[in-house]
Amino acid sequence: MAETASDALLGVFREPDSVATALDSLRAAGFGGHELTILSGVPYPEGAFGEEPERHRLYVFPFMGAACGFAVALLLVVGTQISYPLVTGGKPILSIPPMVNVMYEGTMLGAVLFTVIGIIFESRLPNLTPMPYDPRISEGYIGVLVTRADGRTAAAERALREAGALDIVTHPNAQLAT
Amino acid sequence: MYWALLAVAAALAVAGLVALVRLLVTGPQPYARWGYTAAVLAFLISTFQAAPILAFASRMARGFWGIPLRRAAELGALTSLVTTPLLIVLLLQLPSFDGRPSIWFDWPGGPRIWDALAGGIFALVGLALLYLSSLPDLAAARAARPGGLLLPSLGWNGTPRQWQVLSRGVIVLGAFYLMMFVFVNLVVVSDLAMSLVPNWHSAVIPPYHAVSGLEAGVATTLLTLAALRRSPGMQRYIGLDPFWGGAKLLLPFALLFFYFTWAELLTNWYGRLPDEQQVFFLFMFGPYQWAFMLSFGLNFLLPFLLLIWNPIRVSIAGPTAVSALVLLGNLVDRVRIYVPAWSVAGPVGQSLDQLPPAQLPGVEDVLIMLGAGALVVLLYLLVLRSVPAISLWEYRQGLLLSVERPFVRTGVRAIAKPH
Amino acid sequence: MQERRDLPPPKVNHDLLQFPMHTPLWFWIAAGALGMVVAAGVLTFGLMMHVGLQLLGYTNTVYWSVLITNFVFWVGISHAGVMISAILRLTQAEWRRPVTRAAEVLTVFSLATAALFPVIHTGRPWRLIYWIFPYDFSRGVWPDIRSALVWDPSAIFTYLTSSTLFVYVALIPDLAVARDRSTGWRRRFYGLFAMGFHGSKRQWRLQAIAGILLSALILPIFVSVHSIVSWDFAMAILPGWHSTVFPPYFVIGAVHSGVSAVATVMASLRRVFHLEDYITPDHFDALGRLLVAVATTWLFFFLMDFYFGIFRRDPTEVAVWQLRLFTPPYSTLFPIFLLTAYVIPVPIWLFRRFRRNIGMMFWTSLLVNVGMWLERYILIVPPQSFKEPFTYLWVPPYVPQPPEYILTLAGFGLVSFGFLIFAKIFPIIPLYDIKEGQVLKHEIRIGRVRVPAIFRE
Repeated sequence: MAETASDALLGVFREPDSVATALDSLRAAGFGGHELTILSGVPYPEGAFGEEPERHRLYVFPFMGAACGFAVALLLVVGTQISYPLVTGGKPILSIPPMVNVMYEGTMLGAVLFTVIGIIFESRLPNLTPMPYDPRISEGYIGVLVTRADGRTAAAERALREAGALDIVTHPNAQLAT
Repeated sequence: MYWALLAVAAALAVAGLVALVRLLVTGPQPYARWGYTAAVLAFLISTFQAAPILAFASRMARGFWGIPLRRAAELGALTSLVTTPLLIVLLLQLPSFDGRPSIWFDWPGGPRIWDALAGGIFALVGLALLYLSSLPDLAAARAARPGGLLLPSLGWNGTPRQWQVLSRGVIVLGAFYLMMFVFVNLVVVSDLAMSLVPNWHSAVIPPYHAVSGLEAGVATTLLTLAALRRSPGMQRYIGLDPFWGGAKLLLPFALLFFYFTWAELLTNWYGRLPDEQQVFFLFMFGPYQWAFMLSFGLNFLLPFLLLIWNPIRVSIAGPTAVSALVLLGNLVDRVRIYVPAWSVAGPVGQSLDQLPPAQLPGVEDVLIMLGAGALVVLLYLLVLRSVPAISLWEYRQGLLLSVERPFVRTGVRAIAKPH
Repeated sequence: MQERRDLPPPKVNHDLLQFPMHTPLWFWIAAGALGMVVAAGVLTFGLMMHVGLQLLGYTNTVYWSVLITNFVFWVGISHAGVMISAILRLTQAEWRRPVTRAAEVLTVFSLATAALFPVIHTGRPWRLIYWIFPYDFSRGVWPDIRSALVWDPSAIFTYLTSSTLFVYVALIPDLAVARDRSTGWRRRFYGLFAMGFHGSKRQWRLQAIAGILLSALILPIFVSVHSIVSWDFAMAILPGWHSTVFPPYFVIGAVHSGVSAVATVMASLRRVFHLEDYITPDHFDALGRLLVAVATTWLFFFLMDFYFGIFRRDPTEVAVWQLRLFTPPYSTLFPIFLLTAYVIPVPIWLFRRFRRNIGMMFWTSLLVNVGMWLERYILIVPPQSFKEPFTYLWVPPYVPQPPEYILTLAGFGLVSFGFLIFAKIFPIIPLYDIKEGQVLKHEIRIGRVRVPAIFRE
C-alpha cells in the first residue's frame, strides 16, 4: 500500500441523498472515483451513492491458503507415518483414508487463515496512521472523504457545502493509504 | 415436435412393458435378472419423485427465485404412476423374508404389504400435491378455454378461504411428501437391496439413498426446466434465477454425497471385520468398482469442480450440464447398489464367500430402463396439455411481492415476506 | 420479520454498548459465583492429578464415561454457532441479525471447554502432548495418524481457530464503534483491535464478502468436526459403537442441542440485558420452526442407528440395546432422554403461540439439552458396560463419582463464565448487523395492506 501526503477533506452528512449529490458535484468538479471515499457506520447497497464498485482480489487468498494447508498437512501425515513405521490394526504404513481426514482439516485451516489475512489486507488494515474521521459516523452520519484535494480544496469545500454538509474538516498533509 | 416426442415415448414405453411382461412370465428366479429393474425403480424414485421436494423447500423458504421451477418440480409426482406398479412387481419377486434380516423383524405382512402401502400413500400424496397446487391454474385454463379437455378445477373461485386452504395445504402436503420420500427410500433400499445381501447392515445407506435422491431431484428439476425453456415464449418466464438457485443447492448436495459415501467407506475400511469387508468389496472395490468410481465422479467430483466457479454457477448452461451429469451418476449409483444385491440374493443364512462378476444389462434390461423413463416423459407430455408448465398463480403472487425500487442512486429489489 | 421497531443508530449504540461500558453489581456477583464453580473444577482436576484416576468411577471396561460424554456434549453445543450464523448468512435470513454473535461466541467457549475434557480424562495430561504434537522425543513417540483419536485435535483446532477468527472479523466494525464512544484505556483497547477500521465502502464490501466466504468455508469444517468425534466411537469395533451412521447422527444431534442452546442463551440475554427491542418473539418463532425440522431429522438418524443395530439380530448388538432399554440405570435414563430430547419439546414447538412464548422456549430448549446429554451418556457407556460380566467378579459396575459431577458442573460454569466475560468486554449483539437491517427494511403496499419487505441488492 502506498501512502502519500496530501490535503484531505471530510464532509459529514445526515442524509444518503445529500451524499449522492455531493459525489455528483465532486465528480463534476473534476475529482476522480479513486479520490473519493464514503465512510459510514453501516453498509449500504453497492452503488447506492453512484460510486464505482470496489475491486479486490480476496478470492485468491482461500485458494492459496488451501494449497499451503494441503501441503503442510501432507508433509505432516506422510512424515509422521514414515518416521515411525509401525503397522497398527493391519493397516498399511501410508493409509490413505486416515490421511484424508487430517489433510482435509489442514487444507481448510489454511484456507480460513489465508482468507482472514486477505480480508484484513484487502481492507487496508491495520491502518495505524491517523486519518480524517468523525466519531459521528458511528452514530449514523455519513462521511464523504476527498483524499487528494491538493490545490482544489476550495472547489471540494464548495461542492460539499452545496450538497448540505453539516461539517467540513480539512486535514492538511494527511497520510492516506492509496 | 411435441407429437414426435409423444410417439417416441409411447413406442419406448410399450417396448419396455413388453420386456417386463417377458421377464414376469419366466418367474422370479434367478433373482439376478431383476437387478436392473430394481435399479431403474430406485432411480425414478430418487430423481423424478424427489423433485417435488424442491418445490416444497422453495415455498418454505419463500424464495422467489424458485417460483418458475415449482410446477416443473411437482410434475415429478406423476412418476408414481410408473414406480408404484413397478414396486409391486418387484415385491412379488422377492425371496422369502421369514427369518431374514430386515426392518420388519418378521412382522406379518412385511415387507410386501407395508412397502406397497408406503408406495401407494407416497403416490397419493404426490398426486394430491400436484393437483392442489394446480387448481387455480386449471380454473384459469377452463375460463380461457371452456369445453376443452381439461382436468376439473373442483369449483375453484379464488375466494380468500380457498386461497388460505390452498396455501396451507401445499405446505402440509409438501411436508408429508418429504417424510414419505424418506420413508419410501428407507423401505426400498432396505427391502430391495440390503436384506438380500448377507451381512449388509450399514445404517447410513437409507439416509445416503435419500440424500443422493434429493441431489438428483434438484438435477431433474433443472433439466426439466431447461427442456421447458425451449418451448416458444418460455424464456421470458424461466430466466437465470431458478438455475442459479438450483446450482447453489446442487453444490452442497454434491458435498453431502461425498460425506455419506465417506462415512460408509471409512467405517468399513477401518473396522476390517470379515463380513463387512465382503460387502465393502462387493459394492465399492470389487466387481462394481467401475460403477462406484463413475458414480463418485458424476455425483460429486465433477459437480464440485464445476460448481465452485462463479461463472458456471451463475449461468443456465452450467447448472443444466451439471444436472445431466448428476442424473447419469444417480443411475449408475442405483445400478451399483441394486444389481449386485439381486445377483447375490438367495435363501436366508447363506454367506458371501464368492463375489459374483459384474453383470451388464441385457436387451430386456435396457428396454425396461428406457421404457420406464419414456413412460414418465409420456406422462409429463400428456399432463402439460392440461396444466401450465409455470405455476401462474405463484408467478403473479411473486410479481406482487417482489418489486424493483430505487435506493438513492441504485436500484434494488424489495422482497416482501408476509406471514 | 413482522415485529419491526424503529431503531436509530444512536439508540442501537447506546443499548448494545451499555453493558460493555458500564458494570452493574450483578456482574460481579455472577462472575464470582461462576468463578467459584470453575475453581471447584480446577481443584478437582488438581486432586485427580495428585491422587489418580481412582477418584473417578472407572472400571476395567468402562473408562470412557462422564468426562467423554461432556466432551461430546460440548462439541455438540459448539455446532450452534455455525449452524445459525453461517447457514443463515448464506440464505440471507433476516432473523439471524441479533442471534449470530451470541451463537458464534457460544461456539468458541463450548469448543474450548470441550477440548479440555479429553485432557482431564487422561488423568496425566502431560502425556497427551507427546502423541498429539508431531515432534520427535527421546522415546521416538510420534502421533499415529491412523488413530481416530489423533484426528480429533486436528479437527477441533481447525474449528476453534476458524470460529475465533470468524467472531473477530465480524467484530471489527463494532470495535470501531466502541472505540468512537469510549475514552482512556477503553479507547486504546478497542482501537487496537479495531485496527483503524473507519467504515469505508471498501471495508464494508469486504465485510460482506468475508461473512459469505468464511461461512462457506466454515460449514464443511463444522460437518467434519463432529463426524471426526463420532469416529472416535465408530472406528472401534465395539458392538453399539461400530456403525456407519454415526457421523450424520452425531452432526444432526449436535445441531439439535446447539440450536436449543442458542434459544436458551437468547432468552437469557433478552431478560438480563433488557433487549426486548432486538430479540423479539419472531426470533423464537423462527428458531422453534428450525428446531422442529432438526429434531425430526435427528429422530430419523436415531431410529436408523437403532433399527440397523438390531437389523441382523446379531446377539451382541441386540444385547447392547437390551442393556440400554431394559437394564437399570439405563432403563430409567433412556425414556427420560427420549421424552426430554423429542417427545415433550417438539409437539410444543408445533404450536405458534408456544414458539412465541419466550418462557416456554427457554424451558423446552433447556430440556432438550438435558436429554441430549443423556443421549451421549447412553450411547457411550452401555457398550462398554456390556463387557463387565466378562471381567473379574470383584469389579463393580460403573457408577459416576462426585468428582465427575463437579467437573460436569465446572464445564457449564466455564462456558457461562467465558460468555459473561465476552459480553462484558464486547457487544454480544452485532451493532452493524442491526443497523443494516434498519437501512434495508421497507414496506410494499398491496391494496389496503402494507406488507413488510426487505431490500436486496
